[in-house]
Amino acid sequence: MSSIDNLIADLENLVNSMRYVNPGDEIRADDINLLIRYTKEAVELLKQIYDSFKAKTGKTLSDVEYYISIADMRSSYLQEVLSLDAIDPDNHTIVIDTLKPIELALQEIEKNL
Amino acid sequence: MSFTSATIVKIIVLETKTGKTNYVNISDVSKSSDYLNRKTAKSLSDSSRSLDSFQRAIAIHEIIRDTSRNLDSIAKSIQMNWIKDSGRSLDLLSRSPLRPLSDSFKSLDRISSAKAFRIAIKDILPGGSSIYALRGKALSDTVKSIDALNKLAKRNFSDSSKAADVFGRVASFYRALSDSSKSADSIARKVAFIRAAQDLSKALEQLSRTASFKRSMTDTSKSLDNLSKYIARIRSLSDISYTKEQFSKVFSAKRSLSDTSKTLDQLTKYIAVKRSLSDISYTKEQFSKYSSIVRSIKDASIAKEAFLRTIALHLSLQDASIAKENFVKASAFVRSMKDTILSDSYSIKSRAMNLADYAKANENVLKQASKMIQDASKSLDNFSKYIARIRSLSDISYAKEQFSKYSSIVKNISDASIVKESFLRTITSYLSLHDTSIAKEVFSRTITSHLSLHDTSIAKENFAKASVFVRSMKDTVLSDYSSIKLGTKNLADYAKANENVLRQAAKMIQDTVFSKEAFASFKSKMVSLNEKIVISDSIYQLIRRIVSIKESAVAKESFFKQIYLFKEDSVSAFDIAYRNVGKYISDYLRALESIQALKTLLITLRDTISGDFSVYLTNIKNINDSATVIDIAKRNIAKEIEENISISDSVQALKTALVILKDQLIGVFDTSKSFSFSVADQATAEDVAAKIAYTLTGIEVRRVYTFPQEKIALADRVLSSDHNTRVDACKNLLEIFKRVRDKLGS
Repeated sequence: MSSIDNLIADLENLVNSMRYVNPGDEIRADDINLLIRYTKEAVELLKQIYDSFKAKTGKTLSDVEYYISIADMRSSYLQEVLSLDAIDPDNHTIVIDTLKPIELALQEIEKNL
Repeated sequence: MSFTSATIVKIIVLETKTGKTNYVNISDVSKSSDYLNRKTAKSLSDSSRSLDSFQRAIAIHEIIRDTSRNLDSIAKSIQMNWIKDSGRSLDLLSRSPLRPLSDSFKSLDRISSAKAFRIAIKDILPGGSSIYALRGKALSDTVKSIDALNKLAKRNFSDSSKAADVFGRVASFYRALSDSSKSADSIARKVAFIRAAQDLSKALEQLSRTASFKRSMTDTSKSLDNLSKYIARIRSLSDISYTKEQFSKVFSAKRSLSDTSKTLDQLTKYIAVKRSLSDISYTKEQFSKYSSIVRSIKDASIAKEAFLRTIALHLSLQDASIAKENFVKASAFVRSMKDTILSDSYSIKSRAMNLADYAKANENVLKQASKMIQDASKSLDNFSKYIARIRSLSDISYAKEQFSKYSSIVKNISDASIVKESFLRTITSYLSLHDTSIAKEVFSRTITSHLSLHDTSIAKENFAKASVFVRSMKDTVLSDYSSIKLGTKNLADYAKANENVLRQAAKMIQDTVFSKEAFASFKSKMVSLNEKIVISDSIYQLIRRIVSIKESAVAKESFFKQIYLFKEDSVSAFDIAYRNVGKYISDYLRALESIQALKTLLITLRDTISGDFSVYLTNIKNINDSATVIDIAKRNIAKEIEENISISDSVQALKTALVILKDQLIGVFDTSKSFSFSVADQATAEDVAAKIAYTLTGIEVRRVYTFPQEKIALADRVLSSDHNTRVDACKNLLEIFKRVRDKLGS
């Protein structure tokens, strides 16, 4: 089982652990932390996939590298929270701002395959 | 009857007629006697049988007696009634043999009487001696027989009497037995009584034990009851203690809440310290980046000075104005939160969230203030250099002009006195001009300028400084008049010697004027660039939000690249469009630098004039909050983008991209749908700003911001839908990952 498969399995576990909430539900620290872990692991998985892409095709994609650098930098700002910690809006915003370049990078890689 | 006597009698009687007749009689008598004997014998036999039967009965009863003797008390008690009945039966039996005996005696008496009667009849009727002898003999024999019979009967009677005695004794015995039985019965009754008494005693004992047990149980129950009550009391005491403890905690919490002033003081101190530490750390980090920028300008000393001022201003700003104001507002909020806590826990959470957002908003206010100060400080160098260049040019031209004037005057005046007087007049006039008209004008201009900046004290102080300087210059010039007195030939030297002084005076005056002009210029520029200030802030915020405030240098690049994220197939069209947009944004970024330079000027002026920075801050805030400027800026941006859209309308891909780009940029400027909106719509637009959305894996997601304290009413928060869309986006992204992996074949 390759490292990509392991990371995808980890992401699957994280996604399966996530829950949906209704208005008025309490947002737990775990809800935030699962997303943060998912985002960080997604960045690592993106790097692995891009390495595999380069090894297979011999091509380099500047946009993808840029997206990876952006995602990597933004994910570095994510910090897990503890129970009773105030939930910072950045905990939400940085997550989606990090996932966006990941999505773009994957689209770019897929387009060049 | 014996056989021998009967035979003899028969022979005697049969030998004679009389004898025969007697014989017949005797035979009849004998038959009667035999009959009587047989009857008696029968009676005796019956008696004997009765006796045997009685003896057997006695034997049976003896057996029974013996058996009964061996019976234990239980058998006795059981058989007692039967024995009693047996006793009664024995009585009857003991009485029953006497009756046939009595009957036998009575029969014998009758036989004897009948025999005597027959003999008398016989004697009367037959007569004769021989017959009489024979009859006598026969009678004698008969009597003997009767006697024998009587003896036998007596013996039998005696035996019967003995037997009766035996029977009597037996009966006595049985009577005794009966008495014993009665006694036994009585004893049995007594025993029964005793037993009943014993049983009663036992029952009483048992009852006593039961009662004792019951009593002990009752006591135990009572004890348990008392114990339970005691425990209950203890528990209640414990509960009371616990409740008291809880209450004390609650009361403590309530008291702490109600004691708002103390709590707020502590909270204020704590948050202030924490925030100051955080902000210092943040500012330090910012400064390290800023220092790198400043180092790139190769002017570390100014950067250091700017940083120190930034720190000082930041701390003073935090301690004095914003933090204090925010904490006063926090006090009101905590009070409202206290009231809400008592009623609704959910409200507590929401209030706590508001409090967190509020704290975040405060932090953002401080960060923004810090950023503004840092930006201003960062631009100080550029503007200072610019001012320095202008000042140096101005100084040179002014000094040259002045010097030429003085030189011409000196050349035209040969008389030292005239020179002296003229020079004095000139100087006096000049200085008086400086003291009066010029200074007054400068002062009025400065006042005007400073009034326009809402800081009269600064202008006054500035003018005071200028006046003091002019006076000192006048004194200096007057003190140097002795040198002038040396002669006109030294005048040139004097003029040269005083050139620097004059230059300094002129420079100082011009600096004053320049300051005034700078203020005026600043004011006008600020009016014209207010929109750019907002734009620059918005751009910077966009950059910060896109990348991070920690990476401002990289953020600019990221911002531009972020714009290019939306390019599609039409590369050339996009290049054109993006160049236009990029140029436009680049222009605004350059404007930002200019604005930052102006901000730096403000700081410089503040430091020079020692004004209150809060006034500057208020102005900046007012400018930032100027809805008109914001509106103008938004209109400009929107117009520019709309123009770009119209230009590239022929290219569909470009149009699409620009629409996206427009949304992105317009979102920065607080509107996503309407390019122009009234000031009254500002709140709505601000709310829209908090909901800038883009698509992530095909799902619309929302970015959430906090706002400064003055806009806390617009504060946003992460909603449940935001969380759910993130989860959905994560799932979709995972599918994309899997798809790419499958295509890679890894």
